[in-house]
Amino acid sequence: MTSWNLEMDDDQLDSLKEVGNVGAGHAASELATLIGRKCVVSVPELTCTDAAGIGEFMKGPDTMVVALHMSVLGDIPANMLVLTRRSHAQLMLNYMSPTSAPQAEQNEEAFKLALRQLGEVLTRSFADAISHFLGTNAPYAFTEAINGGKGGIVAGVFPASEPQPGPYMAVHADFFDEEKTIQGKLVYLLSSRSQALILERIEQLLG
Amino acid sequence: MGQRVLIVDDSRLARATVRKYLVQAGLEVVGEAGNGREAIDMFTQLSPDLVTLDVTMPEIDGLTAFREIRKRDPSAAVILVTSLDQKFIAEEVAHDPRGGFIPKPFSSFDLLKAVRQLLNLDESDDSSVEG
Repeated sequence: MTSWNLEMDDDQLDSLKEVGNVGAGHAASELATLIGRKCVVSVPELTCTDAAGIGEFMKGPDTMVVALHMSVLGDIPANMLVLTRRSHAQLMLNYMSPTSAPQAEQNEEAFKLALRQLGEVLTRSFADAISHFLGTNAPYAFTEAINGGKGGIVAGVFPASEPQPGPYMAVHADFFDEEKTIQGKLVYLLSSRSQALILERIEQLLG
Repeated sequence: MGQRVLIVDDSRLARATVRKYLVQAGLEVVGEAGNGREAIDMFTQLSPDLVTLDVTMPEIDGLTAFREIRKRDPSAAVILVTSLDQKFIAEEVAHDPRGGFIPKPFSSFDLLKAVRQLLNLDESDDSSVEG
């Protein structure tokens, strides 16, 4: 993962973390409602990264991963990601619909469709909470579910055919249920321009 | 209002926001803590009238700190302030007349409504509350 000079003071870094905390907390709460289990998040962290570094957010071996991805437009453009092991994604669907959840090994398309719907709910919850916090407008562009290894996730989120602006500031927090049967990472990816917009907005709010 | 408040949150932005709303309403902020451990220590030292307590924090989380504060003072007024808007948080204070819960993000109205409820204050007790 490439590192860049963050060029922000401690208060600015703290503000970005709190914005991530509000979004991640709401996404975890939405997940808790959907799966009927208590879900919590870790204290958010900040990592300056390029597109290739996104894959490194899933620690451990390069197993199959699911990325639920949403692009946010509007006042503060951003990318939002829910990253989790494929087996954990299956378990989330099973918790949501114990008798009728699509099983990946039987119907991959239905599995991906269900994940896309789950991703839409979680990332919208994340984006809405931040939008409410900052008083900004945040229309959503699209949501997708990407399956693959770490490299596949990066290629899916950032197609090679499209320009990959960077570096990004990733505000990320782990989420998990009480027994840690499901775990994953919520990632809020910001360009330097979007970081500046958030910090400007926070200054206005604090008056 | 003249009541003494301890603000607990690992985020300086969150603490500044809570402080701004409380000071505008005439409350006195007697201390700020950045994690659950500091919260317990400062609660013991300062004996505030009210604690606003974040849940997701390093070292000792807010719920653990809340239970420890409860052991030390069953009548302490504590408002949990968290982005985890979930049943288990609400249940923690559901049957606790001295406990409250507001989800982040919140307005000054949300916060001061919870403060007034816990401290048994009328709106007339403060002079500059923003909606």
